[in-house]
Amino acid sequence: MMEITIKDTGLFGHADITLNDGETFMSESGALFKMSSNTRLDTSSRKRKGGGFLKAAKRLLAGENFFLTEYGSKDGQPIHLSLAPVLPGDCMSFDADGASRWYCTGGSWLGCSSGVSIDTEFAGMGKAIAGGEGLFYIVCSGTGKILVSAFGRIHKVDVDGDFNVDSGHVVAYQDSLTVAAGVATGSGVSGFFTSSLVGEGFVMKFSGKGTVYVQSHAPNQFGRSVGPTLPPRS
Amino acid sequence: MEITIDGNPDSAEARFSLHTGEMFLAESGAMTRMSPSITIQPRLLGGFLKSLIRKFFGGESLVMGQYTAQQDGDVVVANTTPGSIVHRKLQGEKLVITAGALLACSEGIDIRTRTHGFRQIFSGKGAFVLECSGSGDLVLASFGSIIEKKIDGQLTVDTGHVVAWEPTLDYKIRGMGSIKSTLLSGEGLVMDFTGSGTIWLQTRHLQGFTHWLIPFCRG
Repeated sequence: MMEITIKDTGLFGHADITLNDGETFMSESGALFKMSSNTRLDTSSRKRKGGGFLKAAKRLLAGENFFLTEYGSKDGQPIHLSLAPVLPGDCMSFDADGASRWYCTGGSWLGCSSGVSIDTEFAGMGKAIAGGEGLFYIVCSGTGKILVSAFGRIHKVDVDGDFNVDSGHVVAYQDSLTVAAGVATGSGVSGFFTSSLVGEGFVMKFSGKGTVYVQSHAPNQFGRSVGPTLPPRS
Repeated sequence: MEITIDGNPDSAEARFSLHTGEMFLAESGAMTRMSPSITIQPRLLGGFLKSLIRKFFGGESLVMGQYTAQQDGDVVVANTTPGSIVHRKLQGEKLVITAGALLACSEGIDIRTRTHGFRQIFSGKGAFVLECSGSGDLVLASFGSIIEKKIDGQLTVDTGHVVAWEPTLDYKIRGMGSIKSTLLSGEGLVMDFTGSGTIWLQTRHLQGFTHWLIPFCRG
């Protein structure tokens, strides 16, 4: 049975994965930083569960890698591999039970086990304009483990009713929830101005029952606080 | 109102659990998630002129968000940079904080902008500091972790690393050694604290980090 252990909570998390009995694991290319010598790597833009060329191109739009890598065993013996994301932050794995699909936003998807297939979906005009999470989401369906990463720490929010998350802070959510982009406070044009004035702008409005994983910090906000101190791009 | 801090020292966030009618103020853009029963209003803390002074000289945002609970609910706030958060309760005493350190405060806190000496202009941290008084909750955030240090006697600290101090302490700003060593050591200005009281220091500072990045930028 596959095992995923998350090492180092906080800014520098990574995932240790053990695969047994012919199991495979798929991740975005470049996430691997160590593996056993009997690991078989298979890198392609068109993995069986990841779709063809068009899907790979769509993955680029979702802030992910064009290529996917599949890891398996060369000789049937167990393999160990470790994956790490680009940004400093938590790694986390959770179970997909097949009953609901998971939406991973803005490059948060790091990998998944072979029972899970991924696709890319346009966020919708509203959420695209609200920004912060990217225009495309990675959608995971099937049964198995999903691995995500974040900027800062990941917190689990069990929504029952309504809940608002600032755009840029969503890591992944269950599709049993309905999501709409909206202003942080009030409604309509006045709500938009008020929300912008207090620096919040748009939020993701979740409703229903399900789980949202959020990140403590937003990469874009950090970028904007560092950016002004850097020389202009020529 | 209850304030819980989670994620220190690297990616802290502060959760404000509010009962109906309770409110607090947070820095522009600080909210990361909240219950739908919370409304936000723009607030100019201490009026327009004071807010303007605070923005241009104190390094804080012009408009703060006032979060009010129409029903019991939570608001979670975080700094834009990864780092620590400290929560300090004021009961009539004062606390001086440096530009950019303020994340959130409760209604009873009064904030004034104060000059901080001419030399500080060159330290990259702004020539002004915020003096907080009154009674209530004060939530401060930093880049890097925050360490609390009790001073009884003397302590010298780098200006860029100071988050807050109690005004029971006296301080003087000076260059580190001679002008030559100030220019060459990269230490810049230091503050000599004397007396007894507590100071809070951050273990990194954002400008140091971004200056390190500049040579790697293209163009």
